[in-house]
Amino acid sequence: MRAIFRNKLIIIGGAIILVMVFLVAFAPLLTSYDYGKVDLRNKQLPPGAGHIMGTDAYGRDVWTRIVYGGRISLVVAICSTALALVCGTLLGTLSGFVRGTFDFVLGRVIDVMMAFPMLLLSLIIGIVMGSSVRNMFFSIGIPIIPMFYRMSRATTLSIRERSFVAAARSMGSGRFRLIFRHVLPNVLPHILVILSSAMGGAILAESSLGFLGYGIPIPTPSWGLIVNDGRNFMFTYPWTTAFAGAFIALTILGFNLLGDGLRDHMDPKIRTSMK
Amino acid sequence: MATGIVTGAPAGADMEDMPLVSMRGLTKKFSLRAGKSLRKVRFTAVKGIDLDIRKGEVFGLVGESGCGKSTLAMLILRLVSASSGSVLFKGEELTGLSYRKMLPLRKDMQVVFQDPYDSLDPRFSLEQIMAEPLAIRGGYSKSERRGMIADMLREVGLGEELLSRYPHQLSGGQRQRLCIARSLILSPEFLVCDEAVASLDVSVQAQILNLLLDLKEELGLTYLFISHNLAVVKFVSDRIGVMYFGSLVELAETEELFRNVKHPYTSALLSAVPDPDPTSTKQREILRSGVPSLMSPPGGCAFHPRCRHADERCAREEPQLRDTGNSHFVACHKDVGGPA
Repeated sequence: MRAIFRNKLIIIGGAIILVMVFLVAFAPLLTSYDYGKVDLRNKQLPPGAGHIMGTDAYGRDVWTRIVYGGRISLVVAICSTALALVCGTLLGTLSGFVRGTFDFVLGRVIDVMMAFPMLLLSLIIGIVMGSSVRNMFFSIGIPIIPMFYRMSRATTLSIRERSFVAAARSMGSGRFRLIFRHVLPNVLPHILVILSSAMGGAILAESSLGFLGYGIPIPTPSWGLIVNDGRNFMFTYPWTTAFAGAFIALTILGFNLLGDGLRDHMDPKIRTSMK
Repeated sequence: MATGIVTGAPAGADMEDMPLVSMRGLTKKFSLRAGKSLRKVRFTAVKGIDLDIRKGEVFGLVGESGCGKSTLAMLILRLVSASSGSVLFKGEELTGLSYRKMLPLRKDMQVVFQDPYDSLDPRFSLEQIMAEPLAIRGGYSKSERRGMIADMLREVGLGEELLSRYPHQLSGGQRQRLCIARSLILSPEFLVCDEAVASLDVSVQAQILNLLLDLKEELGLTYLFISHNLAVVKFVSDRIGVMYFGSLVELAETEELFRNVKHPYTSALLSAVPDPDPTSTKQREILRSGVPSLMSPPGGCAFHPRCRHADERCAREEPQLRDTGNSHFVACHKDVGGPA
């Protein structure tokens, strides 16, 4: 376990995520402004002493909106990706392992899901379930299930043919053990690679939904929403979009590094060479 | 079918002489989509095999790639299920058993695969690999497990200091030793070696073969030894079966087979064995054409398109295994005999 702290990717990625969580958790202590208070006399101030990241088109403090907005963005991104990861990977692994009718039926359901543009599927689920933070997990998480499903199914198909699976079977290992001890652990590293891009997609999907009015109700900010707010003034006043965008990018980078680090950590070949 | 005659067991043999593994009319058909068409094509990978493997013997199975040797092994181990026919293991019928009912029997029959890297989970340390069969079996305390693992590793010549290593840190020979240790830790009676030395260096091959033979003596094992390499099979086997196109074409005790080759396919296989003497001017027997397609098997004897002794009877009638005396069985209409 101590080896985990020797992995630079995990340390850097983990530190970025920790800082983000810290900012978001202690948001009220980090700012003296109200994230929803409109002050049209001070709109679009450049970053400076009073407003360290300036103000947006309504004169709201951008720093305040970012630290509060991160609450929604992080929670939605983590929870919806986690939902998709668990469902997609389990279903995909099972599908690839048992094959047959189960695989065929599930495969067609996933095909239908993929035929919809992701945003449209999110909207449909959002409208049907109603808008709340909890329902956002589903409306954003469900459309990214196919990504995990297909990756884990494809990987499972190749792993189930390896001799060590046959060897475990010949030892008398049950199907449950085969899947959870041999197949899944060998599928996971491939899943971790797409995890960070799914996470980024989830943050952006949340903002798109907000933009279309099916996300978190205004005036509660989220990073995606702040980027969108500033988008209209991108060329005249880029600060709002730039700061919020930087936070999104940094968070995704953090998850990316963490994901890669965990993948390396889980691979005995890399782990043993670092000793 | 030819029940009885293939066993070679003397009449009135008591239970002690009961074969460990007994196959009757064992057949496996696979279906495959041909190209992009929706039509499924069925082909027979293993065709009506009757064979007994006696307790305590090393039975060698040879044949070229794709002749069904490995499928036959998978059928015996029930890693694939038979299309028809039966497999009896210690007198117990395996073919009808469900996955769950099969589990307790698996302890007694183990397998060593060809590729020692592919057959070890790369995420398991040596200790985890060795502990797995014990964990699946259950009922061993931690210290019991430790002791059994240490004993078994010593048996195959691996040091205990390797326990925390991972497969990628071992050499090919060490990995294959580990595979053998893993399959023997539950003290099975029957071990299938499916091309167990084919992917190793020649010097390492000899080490592993000797190890397998030593373990056999020590633990009283029975082997089914599958290989495409006649020299290897000759070295380890008590009896040899030659497979071609899903069927057994010749079956005899090792000495008898090499002294008195009867099937033209076996003699072609023998002539393909490399001769280590560089001045050797051995005449090789080159077979006509390649292996026929499993999708459209030739009529009559499956070997007749490649056989230089074939006549029109061979094209029409499929030969059955027949006893030619001396427990030597051959599936050929011709009485060819002698080295080619």
